[in-house]
This record gives sequence, C-alpha cells and structure tokens, in this order.
Amino acid sequence: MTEPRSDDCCDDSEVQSIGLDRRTLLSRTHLGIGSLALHSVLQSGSAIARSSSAPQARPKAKNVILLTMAGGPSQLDLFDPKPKLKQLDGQPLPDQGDETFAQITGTPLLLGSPYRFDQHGESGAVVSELLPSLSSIVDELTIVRSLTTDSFNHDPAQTLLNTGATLPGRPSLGAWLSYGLGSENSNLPGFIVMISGQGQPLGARSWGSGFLPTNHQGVQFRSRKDPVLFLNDPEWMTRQSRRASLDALKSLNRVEASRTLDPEIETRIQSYEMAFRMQSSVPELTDLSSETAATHQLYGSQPDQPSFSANCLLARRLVENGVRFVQLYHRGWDHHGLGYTGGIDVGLPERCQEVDQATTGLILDLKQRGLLDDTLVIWGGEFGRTPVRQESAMTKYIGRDHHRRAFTMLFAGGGVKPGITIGSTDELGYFVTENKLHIHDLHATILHALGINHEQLTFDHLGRKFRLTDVAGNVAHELFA
Amino acid sequence: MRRSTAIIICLLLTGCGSKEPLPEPVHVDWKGDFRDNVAPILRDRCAECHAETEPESGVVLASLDDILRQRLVAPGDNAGSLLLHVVSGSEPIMPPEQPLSEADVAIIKKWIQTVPASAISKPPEAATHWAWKPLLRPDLPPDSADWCRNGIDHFVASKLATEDLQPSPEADRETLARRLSLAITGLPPAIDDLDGFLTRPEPDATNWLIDRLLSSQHYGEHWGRYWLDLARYADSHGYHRDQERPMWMYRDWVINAFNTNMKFDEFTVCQLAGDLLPRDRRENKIATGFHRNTMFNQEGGADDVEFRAKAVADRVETTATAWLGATMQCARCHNHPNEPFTQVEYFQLFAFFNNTTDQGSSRYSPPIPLYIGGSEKEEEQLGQLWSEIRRRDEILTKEKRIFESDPELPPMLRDYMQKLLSGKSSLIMAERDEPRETFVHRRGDPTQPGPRVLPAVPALFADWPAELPRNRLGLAKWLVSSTNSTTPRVTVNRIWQRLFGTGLVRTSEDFGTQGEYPSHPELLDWLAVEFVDSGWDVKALIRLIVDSATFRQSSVLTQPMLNQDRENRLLARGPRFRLDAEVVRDTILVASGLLDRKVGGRSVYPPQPEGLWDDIEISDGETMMRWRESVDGNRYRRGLYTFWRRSMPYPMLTVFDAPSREGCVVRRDRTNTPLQALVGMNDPTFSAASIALGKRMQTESDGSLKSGIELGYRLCTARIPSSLEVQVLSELWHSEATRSHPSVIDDGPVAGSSLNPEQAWRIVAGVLLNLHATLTQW
Repeated sequence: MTEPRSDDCCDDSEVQSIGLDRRTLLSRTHLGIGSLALHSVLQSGSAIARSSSAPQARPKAKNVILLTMAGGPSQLDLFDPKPKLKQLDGQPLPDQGDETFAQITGTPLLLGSPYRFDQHGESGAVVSELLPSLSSIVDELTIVRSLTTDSFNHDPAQTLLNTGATLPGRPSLGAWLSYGLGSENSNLPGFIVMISGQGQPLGARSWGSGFLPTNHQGVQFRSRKDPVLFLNDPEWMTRQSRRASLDALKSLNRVEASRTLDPEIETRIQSYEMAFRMQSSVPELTDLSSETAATHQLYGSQPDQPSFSANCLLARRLVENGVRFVQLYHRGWDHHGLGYTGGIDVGLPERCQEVDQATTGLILDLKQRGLLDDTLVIWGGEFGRTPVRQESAMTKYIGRDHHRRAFTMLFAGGGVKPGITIGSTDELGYFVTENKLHIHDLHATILHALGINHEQLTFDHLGRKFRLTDVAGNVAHELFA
Repeated sequence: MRRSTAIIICLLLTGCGSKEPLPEPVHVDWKGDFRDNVAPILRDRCAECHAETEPESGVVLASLDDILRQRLVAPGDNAGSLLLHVVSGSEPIMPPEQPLSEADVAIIKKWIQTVPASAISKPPEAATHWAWKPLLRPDLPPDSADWCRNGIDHFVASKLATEDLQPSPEADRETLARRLSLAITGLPPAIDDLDGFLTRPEPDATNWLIDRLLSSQHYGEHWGRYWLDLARYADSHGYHRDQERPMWMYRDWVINAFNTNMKFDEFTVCQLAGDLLPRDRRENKIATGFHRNTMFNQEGGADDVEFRAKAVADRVETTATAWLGATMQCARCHNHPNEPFTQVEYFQLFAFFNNTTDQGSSRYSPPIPLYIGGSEKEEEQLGQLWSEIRRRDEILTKEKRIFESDPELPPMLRDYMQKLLSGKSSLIMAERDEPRETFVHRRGDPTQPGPRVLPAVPALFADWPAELPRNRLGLAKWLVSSTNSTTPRVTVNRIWQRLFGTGLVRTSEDFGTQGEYPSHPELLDWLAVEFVDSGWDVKALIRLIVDSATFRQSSVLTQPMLNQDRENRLLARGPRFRLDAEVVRDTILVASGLLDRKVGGRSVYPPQPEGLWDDIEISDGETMMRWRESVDGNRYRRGLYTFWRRSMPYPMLTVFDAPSREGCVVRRDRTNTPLQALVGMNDPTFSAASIALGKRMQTESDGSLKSGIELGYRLCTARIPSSLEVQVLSELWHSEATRSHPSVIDDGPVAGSSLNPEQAWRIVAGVLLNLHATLTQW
C-alpha cells in the first residue's frame, strides 16, 4: 500500500490543529459572521485557513470603487489627444505588423478626433471637451494612458478585466477581495455590483466566485423594489409575523442542534438572523431620499430615478457603511458607428454626459467626507478604440472598432498620486510607448493599494495555487504618492 | 520493418544478458548514438539554460532520460518531435542566439529515426501512486465487531478500530426511509411510501424500499443531474450573447440511460463517441451532446480558430477530469509542473477531439451539426446540405420569417431550418471526412503551431490496446478497458461522494499527486474492482453502498466525534450534509404537494424575479431572449428541468451553490449563507409552497392542531415531532391566527375572537420548509 506523502500528512495535521477553533477563526477574519461569508465550516474551512488572507503590507486604501465603462470608451476622443491623427485623417493606416481587428477588414483609414482638447487645472492635464466636469477636477485625478489587454472581443476582454483570465471560470476581482479581506459591515456583503445603461450583456459570472467558495460572489443591487433578490417578504407576511416565524425557526433549530450536535445549525440560525437584518438595512441604505438636495445636485441624481448618478451616490453610501468593493457598470460605450450603438459623434457625447458629473460628484463627495484617502476610484473600460475609422454598409455614424493595444483609465484617491498623467502612446495612439500597464499589472496594483501582495493571495485548486494575476503582474509603483 | 526487428533482437539479447558479441547495430544503437553524437551538441548549446536546476521554461536537457521523460522526441517521428521542431526549420526558435548548424540538426534527425517506441516508458509514479497503480482486489479485513453487512463495512470497521472509535447505531426507520429516498431519487418520501415502508411485515424492509426507489423514474432524474454537472449541460451557448441552444434531448438521454441502468462502460462510449459506433442507433448520436456542451461565441468578430481551440481544449480537460481525475489544464501551455503530463501529451489527447465538424464561433445560429429527428435518409441528405447552409450564412442570422419567405430556399433546407427553429433538435458530434492535423500549440496559442502530434493517451496511463482505433471511439473504449485502473476508482469515488457528501478521495476532481490521499484506500480499490466485475453496473454499486451498515448508521454527532472527526472522514456515523440546490427545490415541492412529476421534455421557466435577463441582453434589435414564465404544471417541475442560461442561471439554484455550467464540475460547494435564508423566506416558489403546505396541514389532517403539525413535520422531515416541537409551532399558530391580516395596516391582534387559520397554517408551513432538518440530508 502506498503511504501518503509526508507533506500531505502535514497539511492534514495543520487542518486538524485548527479544526476545533475554526469557527472562531472565521468569525475573526474575513469570513466573519459579519460578512455574507457564513461559509460551511465543514466543507471548505481548510482551504481558507491555509491560504494567505490578511493584508501583507501597509494598505493605502481600504475600499475600491470600480467604475466599469462596458463596451470600451474611446481614449482618443477623451484623454489621449493625437494631433498627428487629425493631420492624417482619411489616410490609410500604415502597416502595423500582423494586426487584425474585431470587425474591420482590409486597410482602414485613420480617424482624427473631432473634439477639442485643453489643459486644465494646476497640473495642466489634458482632457477633451466631452468631459467638462472631470476637466474641472483633473488635479484630483491620475490619468494612465498606457493600459493594454489581450483580446479585442468584448467577452474575453471583460472576463480578463474582471477575473484576470480571458476564459470564464476564474474568481472575479471582487470575489478575491471578499476572500482576502471580507466585509466590515455585519449587515452587508463585501462585494456589491450595480448596473446602469444599455448595450453590453452582463451576467452573474462577471461578479462570480469561480473556484472560490460561492459566498464570495458579488451581490447585485438592482434598481427595483427588491434591491437584493428575494429581499422583500411575500405580501401575506407582515414584519411581526416574520419575526415570530424566525423566532420559532430558531427555537426548533436549537432543539435539533441539541439532539444532533450538528455544528452547521448555529451557522444557519445566524444566516437567517442576518437575512432579517438585511431586510431593513438594505432598503434603508438604498433609499436616496434622505440625501440632501445639494448632494443630489452634486451627482446629478434624482432620488427615485435609476441612473449611473444614483448608483455613484449609492456607492458612496456603501463604502461609508463598510463595503469593501463596489463595482458599477455603465453600458453603451461600444461606438462602432452602427445604428444601435452609435458612434463617436452620436452616442459617445451622450454616454459622457451620463457619467461626467456623476463621477466628478462621487470623487468630490468622497473627498469632502474624508473618504477619498481610503477609497481607490477607478474609471475605465475593457479596452479602447481604434485610431482608425470603422466603415461598412451598416455604419451610420463615425465609428471606431475595438482596440486592445492602448487605452486610458482614470484613478483617484486611495493613495494614488493626484494631478499626474502617466504613460504614453505612439503618434497614432496605436501602441503604448511608455509605462505599459497590462490588466494583470492593474490587478497587482489594486491589490497593492489594499496592502495585499498579489503573489501571495492564493487559493488551492486543481492541485495548484491560483491567484488573480496568474503568473504575471507588476505593481505600478509610479502611481502612488 | 527490418530496423524494428533488429531493435527487438538487440533488446532481447541484451535482456538475456548474452555475452555473445552483438552484430554491429550502428543504426539501432540509439543510446550509444545519443551519447556519442547528440549529447555533445546539447551539452555545448543547450545545457547552460536547460540544466537540472532552474531550467529555462521548465525544460531539462541534462540527460537522455530527461528528454524521453518530457516527451521531447517522438520515436522515429521527426515531425512529431518537439526537440527538433524548436532547433530546425527556416526560423529556429532555439538556441536563441545562434541556430544549430545544419550538420547538428541532421545528427539529431538521424538519431530520432532510431529511437524505438519502447524508449518512452511510463513515469515511475504509474506504479506507485495510489490512483494510477494497477487495480487489485484487496483482501477483506476480518469482521471483529460482528457489525458488518457487506464488504464496505469490513474496511470501515477496521479503520475505526485503529482509531479507537465505535460505529454509530443504526438510524431509525423514518430516518432510513428519508435518507434512502433522497439518496436514490433526490425526493423526500411521500407519506404513503413512508407508511408503506414502516408497516412492511418483513423485519428489514429496506431491500423492498431500495428496489422500489431504484426502479422509480425519479432515480434517473436525480443521478442524471449529477452527470449533467460534469457534462456542463445548459440551455444556452455561453459567452457574450448567450443565446438559446437546443440540448434538452441530450439531458433526457442521460436521464433515460440512468433509468435503464445502461452500464457505465457503454454509457462512456456513447457519451464520447456514440456517432462512431458501427451499430447506428440514432440515440447514440444524441448522447454525443456530452461534448457539444462546450461554449460557443456568437460575438461579432470572434475568431473561429481561437474559440474552436478553446472548445476542443475543454473537451480534453473535461474528459481527463471526468474519467481520469486528471488535471490537464496546466499542460496546455507547458509541461505540467506537478504531474507527469507533458504538453505533447496534452495535444496527443487533443488530437482525438480535433477532427469534428463543429466550430467555435460564427454567425451560424444555432451551430451545426444537429440531430433533428428525421429518418436516416433525411438526415443523410440534410448532412449534404450543410455546405449549402454555410453558403447562405447570411440568412441564418435572420429571423424565422425570412426563411419562410425566401422563395429560393430548397424545400429540404426550409424544412430543416424550421425544425431547427422549432427546437426539436440537439447538438451532436460529427467527424470530418478529411482528418485535421493536430499540432502542439506553443504556449497554448492555437495560432502558433508546434510539432505535429498523433492521437495518444499519456504514458502514465494504461497501454493502448493495439486493436483499438486511434479516434474518439478508441479513446472511449480505452477509458473503460480492463487495463485502465483509474477510471473505475474515479467513478466509484464520485458515486460515494454523492451518497456520503464527501468522497473517499475528497478531491474527487483531482486524483493526481496534488490530490488528497484517500481516507480508505483499500475500500476505494475494493469498490472499483466490484464495480468493474459487476460489468460497470451503477445501480448495483449504489445498492451495495446504501445497503452497508456504514451508510445505515445514525448521523447524530457526539462531542468526541466533533473533537476527533468533525468532517466524518472515518465514517463512524452516517452521512449528514445540506441538500443540493435542486433537491432543496424538489423537497419543498414534494412536501407542499405542488410537484409536477412529469419526466423529460423541453426546459421550463418557473417564476423568477422580474427583469433578471434584462442586463444580459444586447439591445441591438436582434433576437432577444425572454423568461417566458410557465403558467401550468411547468411552474413546479423538478429543479433539473429549469431553463439553464449560463450567464444568468436560475438564482434560487445558484444561491444554493449550483454551478454556472460553463465548465465541468465534479464537486459543488456547500455554503450556508444569508442569501439562502432570503430564498427560503421570500422566493416565490417557497412562498407558494408555504401556502400549499399550510393548506395540506389544515385539510389532510384530522383537524386538530397537533395532527396538522405532525403531518407537516413528516412531509418535510419524515419524522414525528416531539411534544416540545409541537408546542413551539402551536404557539406560533395561535399568535398568527389572532394577528391582524397583513392587508390591515393596524398592528397588533384583532380585537375579539376572529381567527385566521389559513394565515396561521401557511406561516407554520413556512417555518417547516426552512428547518435545518428539512434542508439537510441526515
């Protein structure tokens, strides 16, 4: 008979040695009763216990708000001016090697931006006229013009941005953070997602937990009467009856616990109690009518109207209440020039209007409440758009195709050095020439801001240690003050 | 021919230790040739970076053994040799600075031609690792405690004895009835079945019950559902648009295969290669939907080469996981860092699956080929129309009305398209006429072809029987051939896991060196041998396990058990675990009497929160999918019939840890979260079940509060409540019966004596449906 290898034995004894105290361990760390992470102690405690979960460096930020512009905003019309492109407008794209495009075929024509770019603020950062509000706070922003990604198709590029891999199946960034850091609020999940706009399909796997325990998946807050699925009691149930039901349930489950000693029962009792608390805490939190008119004016939001602005305001409230990671999606940035998505002439200005004031309001509001230092705000899409024009029989507007080689993201707060522009692209805006920041690097940098070494946040799966950044990722230290 | 004979003679002579001088075997002394001619080249030009310590790219070129072990050369096959591939050609990749001279390359080429097939030997782990070593029937340990009912118990008792633990007493009869019913059919026992069992005349009626349950059509639904997690079965394509895909006929095939107790070896062959069976049974084609459950990208501009490669890779990895417990993923881009799998071996497996006609992405919707249920002849003719369909790919993206109004469509094609659109079709595997060559994908990139490979299985595993064809059919037969010791171990462990909540090998997806050592290695082997000897009889194996004293133990814990074996790996008690998502749903539907027991058919749309699919639709005016909420009995079908859209599966199921079905899942999580509590409190199906169960308790009992509560308890947990439990619910009933109706805004009890018994019963029912005991198999 083959004996188990010695390191297997060590692993087992380690598990057993903490086994008795695992509940204590869970309640003290990221899987505390406080979070939604009342994970079955019996099933997966060992994997968690063995992983590295505590912050490993002094964190610069405590929270992240990721403003995901789904579809891919055009960096060339917003943040990365290219006079040369304007000069060569209509000329064929010079040979760029074996480059292909998602939808364009043949040799396309260069497309200069129709928008004006000006310097703003003390930093003199350059932003296009489409974003007047953000222009007014450039001294709070860090503009990174040198992002790159691996795919020019939406699905793999979004999946890479969300999970660090182009194929589905990996945990999302928020799930990794929930696993690594947990939630600080006993009545709210640690990872919350909200969606506004139209155009890009967004499914539950974008905030899924992959191979991490499923309690780390994001919880979607919806702009409906049930902000969290199944939050509201059926119409035949009053709050008094609900309380009485849960009291009876608790009594009966305690009887069962004393008869069977099943350790899962106490966890289940706590789950129901937290669900009951969420039934009041979540509607309270998502009710924006308690915000002042001045605050609504700052964000451009209306108390009862679902919008990106309202979601930004809610994001601030969530962060204020201890939620670690809030991801907002605003959709409709896929400006091919086709009828249904629009182009950079019709479409892009409307999207900018929807997010410009709201993003600015969020940053200013966080700042005035003293939350910006602890909160890293990031704005960007899954890729950028081509320096060339997309044209076919179906294009109605001026369009650009998907571009993975270079695009721009904005950063604010969370220890990031404000008022600077990092990275540059070639004169056509095609390739990055300085400070390349791949999505793996972005992830490493976000984890770094939260005090986590991206090489050490791991989970054992299929016989090896997985991490968000796979085998890559370099922290962009130049971003930090 | 002459050369290989010479090799054999040479080896035989060496093997006999003959002292006769050998004839000059210059052309076959491949080891000597390596030592004298090849090794110096490698030493001078490669060894600096590819030494044993910290080798570049993990490739070691320090010795002949290293080269063979890593499969860097294919015996006698220059084109299939990775070593040659990287150093030769018009733009050699290695060495990076200066390529080898033509003379050096010629030496390596010449040498590869002389390497005999026998040079590639099994890695040493094949003989020593518990999961890969040959399968032998272990002796039964003696039954010292006089407790054993069958062989399983001998192993369990012997292990308990070494840990100084006693087995638990047998569970009571109600508990056994519920446990067996949930384990075999995934449904709790109906009251009639429960009473029938409890009043049987024979002293031990469990055999009667087991027979009954195994012959129930619900058995196939329950055990088929487990398989559907491995098969990553879903009703949509996945990825960006995630449109509907016709696959439910495959799901029904699986249910039927379990119900008819198709032997697992035959089942395997049908799943992987039913289309290649000489016996052309039409159902066999539907079975091959197993590997058509890979995802398919409909996104504009998605690259077919890229996504087809992803689909084929998924087939490789799913096959390896499901049958071999092997984690091949790493080897797609490089040699596996932990397991004895090389990248070449990965693509040798890839080659088995690389010859089908389907695509990874395109504008075809739905993708082809399809089984559409016509006659044989029709199918053949339709097959010939595929090229026609391809030619007309534009029209395939349009709406149904366009097919119908296009006067130029051949009638056959029109008919075909209508069948596609009517949903009576199923995706199947079909082999190309012209074989597709397979190349290693350098760094996993399908656009970077490396050396050519032929279909083969990793050297680690059983030898390839010469009579098997080198195609999917041969691979399927090899997986269940008598020489493969791994498939039976992996399969019996998975069945054990479903019955006990945890496998004898906890990492049921990973039987490699990084997987967990079995809790009872000899029991695992014994079960595997029993399984193969029974002719791969799944029902017989389930019967064997559920009839064991081990399975029949009480699952009540004691403090010493909690201290010593919290996770029950030693099996000193019976199984206890939270029900799977679908079983939670089915349990409340049975208890409330709402369940529609229809088996099979198209997927259904039970109530789900409004607007859930809005966010996964692309609003471009093309076909939108809608959650067409079922209005009839389909609202209350078993969980496995729920329409499964990969990017937004039914939320009640995912909250209880159902997977997305984007990839093969062998072992689900089992969490315990507040979101589950919210489902139990407020999901519309739970709400409807509370109302229906309340009504049953009120109308199907003798009218007393006690008998109503007892009925509800038995429906949910199969047991009769204690007086304390009855008291808790009676008090709740009384307080709720006198509380004002929710439509009345005023709080507090209604003045006077007006009672609202319906309301009180449904609230009591809601508590019963949420009991830990209801949601748990114990």
